[in-house]
Amino acid sequence: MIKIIDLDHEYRKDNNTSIKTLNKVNIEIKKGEFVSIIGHNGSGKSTLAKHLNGLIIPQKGEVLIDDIKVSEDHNIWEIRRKVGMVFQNPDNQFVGGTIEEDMAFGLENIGFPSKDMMGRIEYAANKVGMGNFLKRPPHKLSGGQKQRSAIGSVLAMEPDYLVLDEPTSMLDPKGRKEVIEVLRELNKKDKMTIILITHFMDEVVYSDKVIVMDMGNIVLQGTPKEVFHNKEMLAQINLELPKAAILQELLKAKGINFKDEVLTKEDLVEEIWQLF
Amino acid sequence: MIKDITIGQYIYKDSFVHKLDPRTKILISMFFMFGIFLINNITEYVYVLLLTAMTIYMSQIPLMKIIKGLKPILPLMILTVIMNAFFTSGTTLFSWAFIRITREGLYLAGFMGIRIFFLIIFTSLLTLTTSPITLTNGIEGLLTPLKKFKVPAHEIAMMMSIALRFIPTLIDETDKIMKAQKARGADFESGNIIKKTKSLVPILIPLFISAFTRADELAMAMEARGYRGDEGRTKFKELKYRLADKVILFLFAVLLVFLIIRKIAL
Ligand SMILES: Nc1ncnc2c1ncn2[C@@H]1O[C@H](COP(=O)(O)OP(=O)(O)OP(=O)(O)O)[C@@H](O)[C@H]1O
Ligand SMILES: [Mg+2]
Repeated sequence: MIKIIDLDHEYRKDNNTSIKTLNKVNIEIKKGEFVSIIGHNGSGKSTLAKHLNGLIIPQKGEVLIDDIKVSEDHNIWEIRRKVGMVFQNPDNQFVGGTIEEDMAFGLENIGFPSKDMMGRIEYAANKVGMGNFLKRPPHKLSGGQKQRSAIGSVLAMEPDYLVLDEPTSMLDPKGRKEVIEVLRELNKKDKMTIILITHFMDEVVYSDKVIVMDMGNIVLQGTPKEVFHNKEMLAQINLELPKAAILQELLKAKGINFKDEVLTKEDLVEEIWQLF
Repeated sequence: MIKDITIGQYIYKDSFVHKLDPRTKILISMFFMFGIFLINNITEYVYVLLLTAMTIYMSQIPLMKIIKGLKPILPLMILTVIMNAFFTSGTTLFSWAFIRITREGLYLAGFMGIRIFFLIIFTSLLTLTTSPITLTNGIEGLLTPLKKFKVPAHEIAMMMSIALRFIPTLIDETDKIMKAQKARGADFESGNIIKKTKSLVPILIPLFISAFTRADELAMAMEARGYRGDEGRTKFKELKYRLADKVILFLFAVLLVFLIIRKIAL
């Protein structure tokens, strides 16, 4: 379980001015949950994510990973093993010359026995569907493939939590779909806890919980249904609805009455065929 | 065009030479480099030729690849030969105007040519049969004993391998920036050297800025994956001297010692 308690953070600009990027943030994430965090640019999502594995140490408040305090220096390596991080730019997190070397990098760091590495790497690569590309260098991979192997590189270390900061924002639609499918599968099959930061609303609809951030504050928190029901609130902070929901709104405006509010294409189809 | 640059020229084959420990290959290349300057008669160069041919054969690298690798060095080779031929004093064989060619000059030129020839072939065999990463590993392995003297062996190797890893990425990026600047009317081809150099500024500045961003993000990603220098670190590919490595190293070392002693004794 991840607990974030009264977390504050500010970036110091110079001696007098500073920007408050997190303001009394409180979050609880249970093992096995799929949590999405949304919010427009500069709302503090990345700052929050970096607190989860000690890339930023809490200035005020506390982050607890399975009751281990991130604020205490000597915990940092244990926490980085527990919480894996995937970043936005697929190129800038690829350390090795090939996929297998990149996957080995994290294992080398944690002192994993050399003779067992290959097994772990194959296991992780297969999880993300990259098992046949182990010897490929990054510049011969698509964006989606690079990002999937970045996820694999983190999985090889067997973390308990997986945090992804806009992993799909530099990918084409196909790559985006691949990555999201891998994440959903990991969550369903392996009960991996996933914390996904994204600005694509359609990626959010499958999560157990959605957290909406604005100016360093959590403004909404709940299931996708609950969150996207607050249409005025979302519009106020410039967030869109998922595509299916937008379409449903447009149809409603045309005078069509639906039973339920929908978020996914499948649900919308389900609603529409029952109309007539 | 810029994409044609290949780094290293590693060719994957499942050969005896490929399987040697990188440290062995680096060391015998160094032994070879010294040794080649310690011999100076034709018979011994024939032995060297045999040794080189045998190594090439065992490495399964196509001969054409090796010959191609010689091409860029050709001007340097010719220059060295000419310099040696013209500027060595001794018994004159031929003279015209200020040009004087001596017997000693010809000998020296010939030997120099042969030495450079072997040197290039043997060292290119090193890069042809060893992937850049393995090579880096080898260098780290060889430097490790120097850690006692505060030589940052691990850091040097890490820097080299990251540099190698990012060369294709940065080449790609340069290509993109060039295209973007061309689309805005930049001209990289015409004008004199000064103008051409100046036209590189709008490429280099964005390239540098992005390289710094990359470095920043990469450092963060490395830390997030638990990197903390070489303390408590294991290796994916552990270096191991096998029997073949030991035998080869021993033979080369004995040969080099013999050559050195002979040189001193003479
Ligand atoms: N290293 C830094 N130094 C100073 N200010 C920063 C730094 N990183 C971020 N900020 C500022 O903090 C605020 C929150 O940034 P953060 O990166 O957490 O937002 P975000 O929600 O991840 O945005 P985005 O969607 O653009 O990734 C922004 O106003 C940003 O300008
Ligand atoms: Mg961000």
